[in-house]
Amino acid sequence: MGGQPQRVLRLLRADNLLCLRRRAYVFDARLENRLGAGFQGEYWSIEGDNNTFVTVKNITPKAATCGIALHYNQGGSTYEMPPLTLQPGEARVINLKRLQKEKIADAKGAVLPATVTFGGLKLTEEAGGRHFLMEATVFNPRTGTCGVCGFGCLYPLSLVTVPGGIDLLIAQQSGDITVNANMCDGTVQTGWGCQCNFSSKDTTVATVEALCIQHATGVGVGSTSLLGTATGIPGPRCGEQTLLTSCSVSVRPKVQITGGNNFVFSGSDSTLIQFNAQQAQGSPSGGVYSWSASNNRVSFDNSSAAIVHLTGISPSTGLLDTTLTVNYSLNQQSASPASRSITVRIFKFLQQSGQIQVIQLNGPNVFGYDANVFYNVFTNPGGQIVSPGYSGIPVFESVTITSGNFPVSLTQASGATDQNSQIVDQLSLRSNMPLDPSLQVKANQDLGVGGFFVRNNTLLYQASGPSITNNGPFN
Amino acid sequence: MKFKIGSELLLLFFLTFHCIASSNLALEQQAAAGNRSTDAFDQQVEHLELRDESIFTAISKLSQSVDVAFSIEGILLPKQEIQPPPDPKFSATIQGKTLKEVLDWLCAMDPRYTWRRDGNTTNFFPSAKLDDKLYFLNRKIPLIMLHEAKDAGDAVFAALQQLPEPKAHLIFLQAGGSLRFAKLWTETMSDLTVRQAFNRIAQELGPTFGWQIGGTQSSPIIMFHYRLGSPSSRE
Repeated sequence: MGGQPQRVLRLLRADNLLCLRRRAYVFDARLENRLGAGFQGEYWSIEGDNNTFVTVKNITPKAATCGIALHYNQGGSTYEMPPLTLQPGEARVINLKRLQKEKIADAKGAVLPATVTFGGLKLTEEAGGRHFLMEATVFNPRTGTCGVCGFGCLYPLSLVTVPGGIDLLIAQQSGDITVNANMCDGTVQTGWGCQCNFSSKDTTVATVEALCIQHATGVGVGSTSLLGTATGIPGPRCGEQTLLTSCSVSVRPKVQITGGNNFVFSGSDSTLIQFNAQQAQGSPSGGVYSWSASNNRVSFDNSSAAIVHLTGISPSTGLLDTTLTVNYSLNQQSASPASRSITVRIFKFLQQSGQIQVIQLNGPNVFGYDANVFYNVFTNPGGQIVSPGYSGIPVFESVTITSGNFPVSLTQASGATDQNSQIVDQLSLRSNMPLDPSLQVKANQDLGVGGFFVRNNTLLYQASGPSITNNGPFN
Repeated sequence: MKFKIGSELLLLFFLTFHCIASSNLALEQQAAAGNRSTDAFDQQVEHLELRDESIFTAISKLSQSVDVAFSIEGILLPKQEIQPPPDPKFSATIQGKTLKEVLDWLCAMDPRYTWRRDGNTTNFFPSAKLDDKLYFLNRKIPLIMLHEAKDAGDAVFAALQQLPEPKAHLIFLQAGGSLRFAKLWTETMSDLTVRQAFNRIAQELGPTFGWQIGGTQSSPIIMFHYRLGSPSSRE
């Protein structure tokens, strides 16, 4: 077979396959030149999977024009391409199969018939020749590859899910689970999810949708994997392959703090400890709780219980300076901890609420009065009022009768806060005879709430009524 | 008595109904199994010390540490302006005795007073009044009918109203705390002294409740208490 002296590469009927690494032409050792003997030109074939690329390069320092003609039907027909003018150094690649497929007309307006599959190729130049280098290479991409990622046959080496692992709660649906392919040429392609069929290894833990973009749904606490299988996808040697991928799923329990206040009261009185309850709820149930605090201001009666009762050991120095945290675990899976900031409040002072309610008693059997003094209770830090709802907090009083001739001047009274969390202090002076107008009894009164001193009063009982002098604390 | 206000932590003190930390008190209850009667008055008083103190200070300390009620009737003066003489003071120690024996010991030290037991209540009253039938607290009320009494004051005056002539004058003083009965009290009692009636009223409030009588002869004042003394210790 003759040919142009400037042939770049020509290898047909090779004994060995030539395989190049990247973007190289590969050759089918079984290709056979079907040109007739004596044909002066190159062979072209677009038969079956074959294709022919014609490369023409102007190797002169000025523009040059050539003509390329495809001969077929044993030379009886010709497809003449329009003249091709190339600038100095310019090269052009012509895809012959494309000419036929896209019915590109030649210079005479004729197309390369669909039934034509091979023939000869000639390059004609301007007078003088030697303007061009030409190479016409026939190749078969399907059979020509030899295990190497190459031209026209890109295939994945592995599939990976994005994300690679998921944490879910029960009944929670994950975000999109997509699949990327690590291609043989080093690139990464997205959108391979449609090629994969996913299933869950343990549907009691998680399920997965079988869609192009997958979503997992948590079913039960535990760990499992979502297995993806892609069958019939491109593989080496332009063949097919099956690749697997997987995505790990952990379904965790959850925990919330569902009851309790953002404060506890200082003190070891049992009533206060009951008010200091905090409650957590883990889902699903049956797990193990573990409470802790960020400091030593509080202690827990049972840090492993869902409901804990705190003892306020030392009061906060600032609002919400103590953080309670509860962890919850079930089936060796741990929930994200829940936390709450609290203040450890200490009873600090009282403020009289409203006027003293004096009920006069005008006989006939009882004279004098009953007087009710209402106090709001305040705590530190922050001088916060104790809001209604904390009844039964023990209130103690120590009273010293400074005038009255009692053998024991210091006595102790007891009471408790009412449903409004107030102290209602009753000061009474009753008699079964009209009171002597000159009657006076003085007393010194200490009041305490939950075991903490909160007020000292000087009381003066007179026939007309009581008076109270507040000696603090005031804040 | 004024109290200074210290730091918050120093102000931290807790209600206990059974013991007080006090170097002066040094009162301990010995609960030896098999060695203790169920009668509260037989309980052992490990150690009681008076350091220049009256017997009433000791009674206050006992009130803070045992679940027995203490009621004391003061020696009433004719007029309010008259200053009472100071109570005699003692420095003495007793240990390892029963409550009954300790009370005897106290009254032996201060013979102005004697004591009698009425149920769970210890009554201290002037020895001179022991056999005084005219002393109003010794007088008997044949029948006491209480109807829905709401508090101790109601019950006191209802009882006194049923005291046969001559009626006794009494002032009821309440300086805080709660003297309300847990529920309205309807009760019929018979043949009780005024003292015993007051004891019943106090016990209706609780096992440690007692009362004191102060004031003057013409205007005696009754004041109920949860306990005598106080667990508080403020600087």
